[in-house]
Amino acid sequence: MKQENIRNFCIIAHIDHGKSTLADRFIQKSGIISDRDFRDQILDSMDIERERGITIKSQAITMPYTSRSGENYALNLVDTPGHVDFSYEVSRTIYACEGALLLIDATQGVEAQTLSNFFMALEHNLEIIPVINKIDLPSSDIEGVKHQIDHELGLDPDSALMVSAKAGTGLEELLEAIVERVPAPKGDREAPLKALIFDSHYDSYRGVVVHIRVFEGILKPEDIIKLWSTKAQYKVEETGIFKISLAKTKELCAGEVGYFVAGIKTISDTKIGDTITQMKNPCTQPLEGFREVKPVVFSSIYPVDANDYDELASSMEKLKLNDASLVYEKDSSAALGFGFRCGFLGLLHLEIVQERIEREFGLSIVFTAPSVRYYIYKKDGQMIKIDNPLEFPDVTYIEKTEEPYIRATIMTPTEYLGNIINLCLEKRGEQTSMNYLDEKRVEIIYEMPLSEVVFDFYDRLKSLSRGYASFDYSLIDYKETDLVKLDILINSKPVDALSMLVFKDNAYARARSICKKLSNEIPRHQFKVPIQGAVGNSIIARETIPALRKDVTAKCYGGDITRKRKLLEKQKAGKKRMKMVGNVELPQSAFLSVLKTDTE
Amino acid sequence: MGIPDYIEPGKLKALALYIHIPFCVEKCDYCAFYSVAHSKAEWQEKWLQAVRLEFAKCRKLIGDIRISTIFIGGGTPSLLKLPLLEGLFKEIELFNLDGLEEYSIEANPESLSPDFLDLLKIYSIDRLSLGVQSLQPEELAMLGRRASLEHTLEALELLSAKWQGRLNLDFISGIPGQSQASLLDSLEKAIQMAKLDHISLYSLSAEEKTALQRRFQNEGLKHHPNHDSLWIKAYCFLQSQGFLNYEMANFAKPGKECRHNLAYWNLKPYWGFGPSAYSTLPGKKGVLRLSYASDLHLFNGRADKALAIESLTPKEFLTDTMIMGWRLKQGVSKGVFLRRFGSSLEDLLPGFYDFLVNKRILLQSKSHYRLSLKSRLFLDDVLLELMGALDELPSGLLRVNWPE
Ligand SMILES: Nc1nc2c(ncn2[C@@H]2O[C@H](COP(=O)(O)OP(=O)(O)O)[C@@H](O)[C@H]2O)c(=O)[nH]1
Ligand code: SF4
Ligand SMILES: [Mg+2]
Repeated sequence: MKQENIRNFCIIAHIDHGKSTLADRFIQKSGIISDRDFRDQILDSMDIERERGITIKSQAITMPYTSRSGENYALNLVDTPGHVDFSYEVSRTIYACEGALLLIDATQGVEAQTLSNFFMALEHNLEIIPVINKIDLPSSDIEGVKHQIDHELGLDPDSALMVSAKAGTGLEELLEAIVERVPAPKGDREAPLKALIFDSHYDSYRGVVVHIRVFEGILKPEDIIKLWSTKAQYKVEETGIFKISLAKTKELCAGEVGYFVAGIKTISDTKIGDTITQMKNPCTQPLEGFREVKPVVFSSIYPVDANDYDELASSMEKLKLNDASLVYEKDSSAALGFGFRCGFLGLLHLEIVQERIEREFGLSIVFTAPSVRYYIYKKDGQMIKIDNPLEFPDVTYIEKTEEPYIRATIMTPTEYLGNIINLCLEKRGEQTSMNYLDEKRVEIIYEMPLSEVVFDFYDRLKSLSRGYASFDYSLIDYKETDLVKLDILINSKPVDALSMLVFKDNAYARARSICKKLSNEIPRHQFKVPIQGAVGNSIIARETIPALRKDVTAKCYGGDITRKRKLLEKQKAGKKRMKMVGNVELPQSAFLSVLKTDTE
Repeated sequence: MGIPDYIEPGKLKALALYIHIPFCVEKCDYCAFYSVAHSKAEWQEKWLQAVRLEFAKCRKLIGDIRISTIFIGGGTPSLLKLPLLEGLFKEIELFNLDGLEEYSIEANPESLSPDFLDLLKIYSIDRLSLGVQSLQPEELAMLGRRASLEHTLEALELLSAKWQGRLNLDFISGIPGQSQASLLDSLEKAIQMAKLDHISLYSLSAEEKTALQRRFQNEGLKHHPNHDSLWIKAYCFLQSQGFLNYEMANFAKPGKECRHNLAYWNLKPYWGFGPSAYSTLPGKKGVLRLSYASDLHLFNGRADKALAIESLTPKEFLTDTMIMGWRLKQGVSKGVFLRRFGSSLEDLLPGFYDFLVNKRILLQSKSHYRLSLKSRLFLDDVLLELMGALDELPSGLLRVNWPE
């Protein structure tokens, strides 16, 4: 395909503004898949993605399009992940494109991720086409959104297109606008190869399939290539483009989006944002903006049944095949046996990994409380980085401690401002700016500890603003903090897997809340079970689970034995998901309840 | 159609009958039994009509197989208009009642009348079970009972004056606000006032979808904090009064145990009629569990459509045997077990049997698999172990011969 007839674009939007739905319509319209085979939201291909409605991995698709003028085009749509945990991936996807459809829900208007994605697209010089979606809804406020486009984004509101991704209205105009307004890629086919990795996935037949945008030169089978950051060399076996499945091509030229396969074993060998060039005649400079994605949230995973450790190990390996940002190493706990210490991009990432292990591999697992990575400065001058409470040194050796901070951008209707400010204060946030976008909406920026956000910040923000506030964050730096290790004792035994590092002033409230949650989750035993929270030697919270109630003395329902048996069967299934700690049975839900604490 | 194809009447020697009368004045807050409040006279007539048809199908199938016990429960049987009740009794007389061992009916205080008692006498109904629940006005109110304390006391007086048959009173322990003294006071007064031979003492539980459960969940009503010790105190008190605990929640003067309920606990064939009623019957290919949907109008319209039939696997039937049998103080007869499952428990599940012995769950008894009182109170734990052990048993190994 001639460069002039290629358009590379992405759709950027706040969650739920309709990105996936619009992508589906495009695909349907391009006719590359029959309507019968069409599954809604074809681009969100993982089950979990479809269920949660959140795009986790970038996906790309090449759609043929014949414009009104009769020209044939190849439109490359690159779908961007839809969650703050994955903002680096979004930035690389944006980098791979010349244009972006900035999709805005006509009933919601501009939200936090609309803005952050907009700035990202602006930074990369993309042609931005504002698209107002969901105009079919009676509550849509097109004029209001146009006003925001004008005043908050500084774009020409008359350039905005109106669509209903759901009903498929306005698609023709939108496709024409893409052809007309998004610049064709430039890039010299004769120059040395320079291509960007924006994603990769594992395919059981081909091995690692690397998703790339070629900026300069040509990539074809038999080429010997080099990955810039790792210096690793590979021989290209296959190149191609994304139809619904992979479609082989002779080559990939400057300006094109596609994939290659080169016998790469694991996707961790391909780093998102990295540059590819030829061994012979390499480019002189890599593409800019590459960075190693580092996990920011850490937690250990243990199988509920210790016999499942080997199976867990092999599931982790398989997960890792498709999830380069998951990092892990072997870990062990006195209470839970062998498991893995894992690093995640954020809490959503953690939840997704958990769901995948349980669903795709059928394993019952427990997670320990998520932690951020702290810097501990010891009195002997040493500095250690720890994310595992078990490695926390004795306080007498500690000079000072530091924890990571984020810059959080929150947009909210003004009526919830008071509540949100209180929440941020409670989360140790410091306001750095407040900016009224119009009479009704305000943007506030806070610097706050990441550790406060990994717990229940997002859920609470949503609930106290009835879903209207939106949130985005980026990591800034480390700041001094006052850290203690909170231990949880069940039946007087400390359960190491429930220990956590907390800000000292929060320890008391956190301990109480955890003890309370655990007391609701741990079933009654034939004996009383005390649950205590302790810092060092002092007990700061306590709950007691009374001994079992003899429910057999309840009225027996005549001949309905089936009902009783079914209840027992359910209880039995629940027991399989219990972890024995000492002589107490802890259900998986007890560990999960600790992850979401603080809601009183 | 429906029923007859599946059941194997040839295996029946005797049958226990249950009839469910699904009407109540109003719903009590704690009640999860199926019953309809504020019903129209016409619904009750249609109900009897439907029962008649089901009876006829049953009789056609079982011929003159003997009925061993009858229990008319509910709901509130005493609520039915007397002619309607009489219609039911007449219908029941069409079964073979030679050698009937026990004929029970339930009643509630507010609808207990001399005429009702007279009618029972005419039809030889010899056992009455009255829902008292408590003799403290606050506790009755807490339960959302219709009958006031006065109603209840009047009913007890009426019974002591007029009722010659056997008598059971139902009580509830663990009512929020109940004290040890108030519970024992209720029991003691009742024992003094009426000539009873049987007491059921249930502990209050918040069943799904009841008003009580909503009150616990939404209105901050607190469960009784000393629920268990309250029940144990009452247990000791009743024992001392000569009412011996023979099943988890049931106490009787020696020889006065409820034979109909014993048929459930010993898992003998029983056939229940009416919406929400259950049956366990021998089928052509194994044991069957029949159940009518909890839906009066469906039952009244097309009772056969309301009937679900489930075939029990041998493992399920063994589980059911122990779920029911271990509620009994005497436990499960070793002879019955051997005949029913073709092998002893120790041969069938040696690991589980060792567990029972080592943990001192099983009491020493030549004739029965009998649990200690404590294990009976934590019966669910024992049953879960049993079910785990049964999972390991190859399914071909178990054969069922029932009724034995
Ligand atoms: N009424 C209406 N609903 C839409 C439209 N576009 C998307 N939606 C709905 O909005 C929700 C979020 O859409 P989705 O495409 O998953 O959003 P994403 O998170 O941006 O990928 C879904 O329930 C869609 O059905 C539209 O044009 N009209
Ligand atoms: S009277 Fe008996 S059956 Fe009727 S609602 Fe009350 S407890 Fe339930
Ligand atoms: Mg989506």
